[in-house]
Amino acid sequence: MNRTLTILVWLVAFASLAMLPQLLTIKYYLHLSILALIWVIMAQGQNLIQGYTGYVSIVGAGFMGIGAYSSTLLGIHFHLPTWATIAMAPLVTALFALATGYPSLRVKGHYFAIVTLAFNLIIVIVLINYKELTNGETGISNIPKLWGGSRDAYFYLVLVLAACLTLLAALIARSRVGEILLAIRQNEDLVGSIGIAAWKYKLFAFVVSAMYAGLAGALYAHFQGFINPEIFGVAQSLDAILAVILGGSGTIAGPVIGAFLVVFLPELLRFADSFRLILYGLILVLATIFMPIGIVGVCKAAIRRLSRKDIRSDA
Amino acid sequence: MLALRDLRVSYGAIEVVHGISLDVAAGECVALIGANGAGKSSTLKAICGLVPVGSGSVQFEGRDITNASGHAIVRAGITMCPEGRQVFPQMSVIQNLRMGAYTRTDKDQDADLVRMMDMFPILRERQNQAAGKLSGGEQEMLAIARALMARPRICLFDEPSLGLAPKIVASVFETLAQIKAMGMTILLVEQNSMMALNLADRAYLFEAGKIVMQGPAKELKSHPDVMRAYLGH
Repeated sequence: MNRTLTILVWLVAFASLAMLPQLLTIKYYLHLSILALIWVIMAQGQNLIQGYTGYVSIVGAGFMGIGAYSSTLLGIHFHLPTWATIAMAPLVTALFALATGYPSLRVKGHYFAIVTLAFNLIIVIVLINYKELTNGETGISNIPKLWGGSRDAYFYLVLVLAACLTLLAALIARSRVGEILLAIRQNEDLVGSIGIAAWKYKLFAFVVSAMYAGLAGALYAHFQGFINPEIFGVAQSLDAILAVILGGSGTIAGPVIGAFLVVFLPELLRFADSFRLILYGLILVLATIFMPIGIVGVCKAAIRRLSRKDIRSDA
Repeated sequence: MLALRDLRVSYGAIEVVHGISLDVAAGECVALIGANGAGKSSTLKAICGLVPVGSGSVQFEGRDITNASGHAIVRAGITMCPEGRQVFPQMSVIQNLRMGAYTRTDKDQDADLVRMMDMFPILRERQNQAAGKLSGGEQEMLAIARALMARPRICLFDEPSLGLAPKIVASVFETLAQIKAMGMTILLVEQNSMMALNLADRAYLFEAGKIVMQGPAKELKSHPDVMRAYLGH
């Protein structure tokens, strides 16, 4: 019963999103919705390592950058079709994630966060200075778009991908692997003494999360048509972390809600003019202090309380 | 069954276990006693592959398992019940027990689950509760039951009485006696020397990283030095 209800809610959410291009009269909102869906992919990946495994990684945007640049450069230098380079971007990112994940996952907690932060800084520095390949701070423009740049078509592509990857994240979370990731978050030393090689599972979560980010980066590059190193800085990594925390870490719906929030909230706050970013920052600070379990966590708690009251009043 | 020869363990430049040798025979219950920082827990961790062995060897059933990876050692049949009531706090009691059987592939896991709950009735009562919500004594019982779920050939207990009320300590030791009566081989590290010596067949006394005395538990219990220093008589 409960399960069919959950599936129903997801289907309704998917259907209403699918109708968005018909409902939105202002094209700018469609543009933002596409960005938000790309961020859903990003946040689902971040949630795997941060929410389920309990390792706060700050290299998300860096991996997004690797995905964006590899898809773009593969297209330019090898004249591959765009859909093929988008598909290859997560694989290239996975290679980088394997190389960076193995050393960074040897440390825990704040140390892990700092090591991954350093990797993000390095990625940006390389993107800026390896001018022969990346064109430096000027960035690369005129990146080929799919279907002649049709926003509606791209919206559906991103929507289907975001839905599939959300489903994949849910399957991972419910699998035996997901159970072990949760166990690592709760008591990593014990996981070791039970006889589970925790590092394999941590590396798996880290690499899969990087592949999500890589795909999000590639989708971003071919949507905007322009990339430069600044877009993939630490600030974006922090936005990914916030999307997970705001929505509800360790839940499947959380990153979806969080992704839409980090994309739309700064826009909705435009009425505040020059106070916009201050207000945005204030909301984030207050939300993390008073709502550490995220929107999904608060909703679940509220539903539980309501249903308990129902039982009591029935009796 | 388990044989340590001239084992040395260091944390960085500081050596904490200075070449110890000890044996545990099948079906035996052996206690390692001594003060804080004597190297008892480090010895256990070295056996389990949780800290690297500097030199010397660890043999299990004739096989050299020195510095093998932690999961290879569990697969070989050695399970450790780490100190401090280690459970997965947000998982239910049942889930915790099932995690204990992770390395097993046989079909008897459900039967073992029932057996554990027969042995620890309190775990059956709380089977769907989150482990973090159990009391300290219940968590220690869960930790012990979880260790047994791996069907180990030898079970290592690290300070099972740590931080528990005296009454609960007594019931933890009753449980250990029950496990011993089932024929399980046990290597026990304990600061509560009296309880440990009452339970064990043999014991080793650690002081500053060395074994200074060994023998049948009864003899150690009545040895004047041990009585003065560790039993408070």
